[in-house]
Amino acid sequence: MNKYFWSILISIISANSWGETPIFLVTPNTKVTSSLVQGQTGTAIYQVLNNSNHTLSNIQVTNLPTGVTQVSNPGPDYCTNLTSLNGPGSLCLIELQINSNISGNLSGGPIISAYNGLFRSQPFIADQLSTQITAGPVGQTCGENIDNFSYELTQPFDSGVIDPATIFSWGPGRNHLLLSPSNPNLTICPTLDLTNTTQIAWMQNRMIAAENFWVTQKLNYCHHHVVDFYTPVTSYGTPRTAIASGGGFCSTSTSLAPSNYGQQIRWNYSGTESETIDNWVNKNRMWYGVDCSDFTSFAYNFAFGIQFNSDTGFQGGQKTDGSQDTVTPNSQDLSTHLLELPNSSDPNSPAGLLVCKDGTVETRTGPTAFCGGLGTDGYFSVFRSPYSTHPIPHPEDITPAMLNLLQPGDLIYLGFAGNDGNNPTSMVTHVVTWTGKHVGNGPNDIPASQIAPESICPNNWQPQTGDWVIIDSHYQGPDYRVFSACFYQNNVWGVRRVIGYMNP
Amino acid sequence: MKKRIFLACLLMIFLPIVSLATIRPVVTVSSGIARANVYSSKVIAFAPFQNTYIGSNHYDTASDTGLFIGGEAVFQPNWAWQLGLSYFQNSSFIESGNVYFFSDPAFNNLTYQYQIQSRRISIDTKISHAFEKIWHPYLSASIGSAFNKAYQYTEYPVTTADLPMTQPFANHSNTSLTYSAGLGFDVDITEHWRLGAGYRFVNLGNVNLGTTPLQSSTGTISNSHIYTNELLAQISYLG
Repeated sequence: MNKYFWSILISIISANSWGETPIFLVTPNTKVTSSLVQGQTGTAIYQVLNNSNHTLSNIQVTNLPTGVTQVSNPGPDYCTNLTSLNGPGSLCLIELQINSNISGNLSGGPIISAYNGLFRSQPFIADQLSTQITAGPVGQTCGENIDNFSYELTQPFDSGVIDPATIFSWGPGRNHLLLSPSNPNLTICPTLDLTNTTQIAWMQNRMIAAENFWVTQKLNYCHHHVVDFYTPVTSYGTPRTAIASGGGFCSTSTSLAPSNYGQQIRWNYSGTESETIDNWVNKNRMWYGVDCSDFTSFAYNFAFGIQFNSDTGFQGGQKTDGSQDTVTPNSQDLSTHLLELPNSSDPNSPAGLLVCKDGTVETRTGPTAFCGGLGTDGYFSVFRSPYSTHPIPHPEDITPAMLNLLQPGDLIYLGFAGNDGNNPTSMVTHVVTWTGKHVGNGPNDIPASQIAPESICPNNWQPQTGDWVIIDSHYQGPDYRVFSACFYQNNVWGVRRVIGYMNP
Repeated sequence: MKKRIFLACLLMIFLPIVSLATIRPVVTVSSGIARANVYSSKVIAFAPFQNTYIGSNHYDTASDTGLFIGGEAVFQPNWAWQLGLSYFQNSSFIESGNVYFFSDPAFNNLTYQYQIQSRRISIDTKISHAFEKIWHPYLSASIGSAFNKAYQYTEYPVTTADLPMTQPFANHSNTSLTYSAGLGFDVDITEHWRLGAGYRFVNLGNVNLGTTPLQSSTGTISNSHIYTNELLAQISYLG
């Protein structure tokens, strides 16, 4: 027995010293949930890449466990058939759905095979299908389904409407996702009744859970509308690595202060198996992701089916004709500078209502209209009235006490006079989601180890216990970050509240 | 037919002895260790590609046990000659190595292992000289047939993302010429019993695995010669 053990061990050690290069690199785009209740459907999306230097044929997805099926044609980057993978470096996505009515737990695979099983690969162990199936029934209350996104994940993320002008840069638009209509019926959970604090809290918690789901997928920051699109190697004649802004851009950031994060590439990558520099840079992983306002619009769609504009300035309420690119909430006036209102039935309208300094939302009528009146600087913003094409921020206008008035799911828009270059027109260039959580180790806190570095604060920046935590997509993609003064708090253009004010 | 030739040879050797001296029947049980270098490498075609199987150059140790049945004749003062048939069998040697897909070391995705077992029937002979009546240093030699088997080919993934091929190389047995040469000593412990110890060099012959339906050629992983160095303890009964 010992002889066999040592023989195998020596072989494995000697082999490992020469590196590891699976024939097919199978990496998760969307990981399947670790547990399902019988009756739920699990979904996993993998990128399959021909990692060899050879043209391979007879490629198949094989040995799918009982109850696991491959979904056909969920979007433009999915494999129509695996023979398209025959060229070296060619890749596509596969979507698998898991029927949890089977007995037993699922583990292993999916297996990609070529030449009748001569060459076979599967995801690394941490990325393989692994789902514990527990006995039903599925909980039917809203409270039991705060983080149940099974139904959303079975729906295509990508709109079937293809815009030939942007399909190879921004990629497909988002598909309108629907809440589960039965088992459980979650369509009854969202509310516009602000007095129904239970359902409002449910929406706030579900919104943060939805963003948390995508934070854990470790996407990059890209100018894309959806999470399952990658910028093609050549985008309308431009090599994707040469795209500096606009559609198809993905962050090429590899490191930033503080250096003690010790990152190899993406800040929270392990450096092993699928989380390597090579996988991120050379195997297409860094070309998936969404930008800040596409992340917030995708997340509200994912959580509730609530839709609003995915452009940062338009989502903030500025008009789509470009006439309000330098208008701030406090610099509105009744003549030409009145920001837009949301419309739940218009997927291109702004996201909810603007928030006032006292934590309420703006009205357009009555004695408290316009957060106490136009010209009174009653909006939650560092920019004051009157209107100016180069408004000057007043960071002191956002006090620590005011932050306590924000609610989970509130969207905070950042503005920079003259814009910061990412957006060539609007001064509103970034949006983040307020979590209502702090850095810490309590049950409702976010541990410091989950806080991503960010690129704009000083080099000695570190998360401190008690710091407010937001979620946003910039630098290397959607992550938890500290609501630092230097970048976020000092540049608040305005805050919008969706929950309680928009319908799915 | 082979058996008849073998028996004829045996008689040709034995008959003169029978005519010269008194023959004591001998039964010897031997057991010990055999150490062999089971290294081999092979390029196998899987059209349109080829994979290389690089054996790890290593020595492996197995047990070796056998039975000798024959006779001993004294043909000069203090000189004795044993002749007879022996059967030896070793526990499995383990051959292991690395699979290079496309014969490219960058695609060292699997390691492999298989086992080799040899069973041998030989004409075995031993010449010894007695010192102080009880010590019998000897020289030995044998020649015969080896029935070698390569089996249980198994591939092991290098990483959790790799998987072995679905149809491994098959088990395979073949017959090969085997021979040995050795030395050692026996010591009388009673009139009828001897203990002994010895070293011998053995050529087990060749062995190879079977093929897999996935390959496009007939080549397979093989060892053209397996040489062993053996240390054996022996106990003999002489009638």
